[in-house]
Amino acid sequence: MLTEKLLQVENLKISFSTGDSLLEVVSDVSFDIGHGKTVGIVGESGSGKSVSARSIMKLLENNAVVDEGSRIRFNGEELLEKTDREMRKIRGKDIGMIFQDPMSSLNPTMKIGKQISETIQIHEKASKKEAAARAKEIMHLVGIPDVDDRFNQYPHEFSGGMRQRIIIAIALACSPKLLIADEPTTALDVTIQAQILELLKDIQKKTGTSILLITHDFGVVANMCEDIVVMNKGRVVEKGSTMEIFNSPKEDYTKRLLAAIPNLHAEKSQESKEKLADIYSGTREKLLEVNTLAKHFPLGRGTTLKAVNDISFDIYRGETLGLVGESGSGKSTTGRTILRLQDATSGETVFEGSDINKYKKRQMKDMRKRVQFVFQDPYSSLNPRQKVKDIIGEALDIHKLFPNKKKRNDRVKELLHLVGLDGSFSERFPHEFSGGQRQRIGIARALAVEPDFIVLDEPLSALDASVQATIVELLEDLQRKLNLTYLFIAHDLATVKKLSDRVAVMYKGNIVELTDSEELFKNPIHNYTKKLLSAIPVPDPNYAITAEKVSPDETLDFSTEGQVFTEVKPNHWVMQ
Amino acid sequence: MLKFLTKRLIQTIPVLIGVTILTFSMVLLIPGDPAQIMAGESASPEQLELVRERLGLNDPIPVQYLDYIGGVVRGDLGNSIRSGRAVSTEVFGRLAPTVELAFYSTLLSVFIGIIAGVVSAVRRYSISDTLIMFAALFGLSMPNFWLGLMLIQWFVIGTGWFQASGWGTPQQMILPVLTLGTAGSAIIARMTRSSMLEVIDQDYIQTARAKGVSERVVIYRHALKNAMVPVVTVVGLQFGSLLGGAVLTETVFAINGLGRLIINAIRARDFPIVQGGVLVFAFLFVFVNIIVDVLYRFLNKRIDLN
Repeated sequence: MLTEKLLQVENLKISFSTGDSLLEVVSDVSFDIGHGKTVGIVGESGSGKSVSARSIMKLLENNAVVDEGSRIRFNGEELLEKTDREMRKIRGKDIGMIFQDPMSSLNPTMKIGKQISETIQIHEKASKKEAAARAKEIMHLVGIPDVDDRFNQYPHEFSGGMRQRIIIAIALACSPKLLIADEPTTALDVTIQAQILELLKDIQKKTGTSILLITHDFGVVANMCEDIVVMNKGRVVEKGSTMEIFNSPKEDYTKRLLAAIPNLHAEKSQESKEKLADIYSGTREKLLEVNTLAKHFPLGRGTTLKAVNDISFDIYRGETLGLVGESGSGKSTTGRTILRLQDATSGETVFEGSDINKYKKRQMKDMRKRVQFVFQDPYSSLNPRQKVKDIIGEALDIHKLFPNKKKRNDRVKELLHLVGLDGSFSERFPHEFSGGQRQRIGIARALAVEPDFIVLDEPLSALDASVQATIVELLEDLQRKLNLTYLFIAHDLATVKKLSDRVAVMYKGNIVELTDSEELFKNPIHNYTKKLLSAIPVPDPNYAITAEKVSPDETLDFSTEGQVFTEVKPNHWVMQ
Repeated sequence: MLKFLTKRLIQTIPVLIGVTILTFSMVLLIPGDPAQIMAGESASPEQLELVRERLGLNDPIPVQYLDYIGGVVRGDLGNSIRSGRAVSTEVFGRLAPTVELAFYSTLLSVFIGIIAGVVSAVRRYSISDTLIMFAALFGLSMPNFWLGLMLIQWFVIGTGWFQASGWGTPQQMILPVLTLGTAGSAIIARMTRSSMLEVIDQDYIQTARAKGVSERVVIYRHALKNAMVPVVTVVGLQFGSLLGGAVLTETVFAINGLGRLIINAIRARDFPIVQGGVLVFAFLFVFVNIIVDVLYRFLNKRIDLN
């Protein structure tokens, strides 16, 4: 029987049994995928998108219950009626799956060649030798260089991007008709993401496979998918062609999601422009001056990692300096070193006229009151055994700001109000809050001692886009009210653009470009900045991704050897 | 690999020196005069002085220690006070039953422990899981000399299937190995269970399932090897403590091993034998741990031993 669609999901309803009650996580979800097409399921965390995708493979947790009225037809067959033995013949053969985290999705104790050829041996009754030969072909197809050598290596010998290629190779090993990709690029740097997306498109062209792409990123779907299914709280909010969804979204939820995407081309506010004018004319106070700061980590056997390599920059009172870079660029190390959370190898951080690296214990303690940190992961940066009032109040106690217990707790409530939370939350524990609320608690903790300067280390990257937007607003609002200065560390260029007055781009321990954010996005000069900007998936289906063709060597190398940081245009500094 | 082994062997030198300092100090710390013990209660002061001179007890302590070390390096551990024979002959003559006992017990506990641990992890919260974990708790809590006595009660006195003394034939070996291996099985079962449960939740297990690999292959080919990494450490430590545990088991089952030799030597205040026996135990422990490190490398490719 020839079906028109490759996959038809109808009235999918999935519940999780928790003790004696059932919790419905997917309700009446229906969508279909045509042969050779790409469909994207978009939604925030908890929308049920991953559970829906896994149910197609019947790889749900044991406590998941699929409702009897649900239908999943694949290639003319009803998958939900199949036994586990029958499903095993489909998994890996007709349907391949790509997972989110390349660092943990490969077996660390098995050679990668074996991990790829295993699938072929299971499904195609191929001999070990034939399977190996075929695995090598596929490795070549997904752009892994030196196939013969790398075939016998273990996962830890590969970078994140390369590992994701291996995972794709495993999924592709038996030329499946459908590829389910669950957030395939979320854990990757933006330039690597561009390569992987390009690879998926290329493979689809060559093999004609259909792709079901699960993601939270509208930029990714806009570039990849013909159709989009928007999910929220286990239900399909809206579905349609990519053009329809982007150009004329019907539902409020979709509109809100689209509105929450930071626009790379938006102009900066008047306020920001005034700040920049002050900074450039020299009338704004310099809060922090970083001079040839370096942080080296010994790697053993006489080699060192130059995580931060003699960088210099200034931060002015009331501004937000964005610090962008990909993983391993040294941006977080910079944030920690300038505040002496770890000691610098050399160089200085001048804070109000003196170098903090020379501070004595007493001075450090005073300084700690003036500068604060907000961390990336709102889940692990709050002590799970402390009540909110103690998390926020601890700094008040350390600096003996409110010896009176009642006044101290009143201050905690005040701080909660300031970050948009209810004062009554102070008696609760962190696990009772959502990610966004926790990040607000983290911000309240930083604000407790009334600092002048806050280092925000990737404060948004663990949050959903709509929550990110509200936190950005909160940060801007607080800056205005309390005249705060921020160093905003991030890998996401769009939010950096939104929040920062000036932006520094880091690459392998060096700042390669520094200028105001509008100028940087309009006229990037350094090749690395250009590459970074062109790799961002633009959430606009009319706008083609401009990443270069898949290159087997993913190491972008822009050597800074012997170069100097020069002002090539007024207030536009570039390493060259 | 060779480089790693050399490095690891060099690293053991300070440990071994520490061990010799401890065994050497044992003599200084025991109450009473060693010369008096050797010469007997009725020895005259002249005889005592002669013994002291012969043993080098009049030399300064560092010199005595260097003498001792020199002997250890040459394989000369002194002479037994009781039999007068060389300590090395006595100790090495008794080593085989002890090492065999520890080895077979480890083998048994690895075999039972891993199977039980895997079954209870795969069937988490089932009746078999509950039973296995109850048995493991029981096996851990039970003193092994008591278990030994019970086994003798049932299978030697009761059914007469096995023998309760000596070492060499299966009838003699099975009960002591069972006695000594029980606690180890329990520890390894619990360790394997928790390690397996952790591994089963990993993303790469999901990847394997998505390939269409059968559940049996998922467990034995993909999960087990990864789950073994922490278990190997425990097995190594286990083997070491089994050597020590042999002291009790050898006494219960009247096995002429190193443990029993030491016990008897302690009773007779035959300190050169105690010294030599402890030294050999310590050396064995150190080398077993090197073997564990090597096994580690085969299991966990991420550990760069160099």
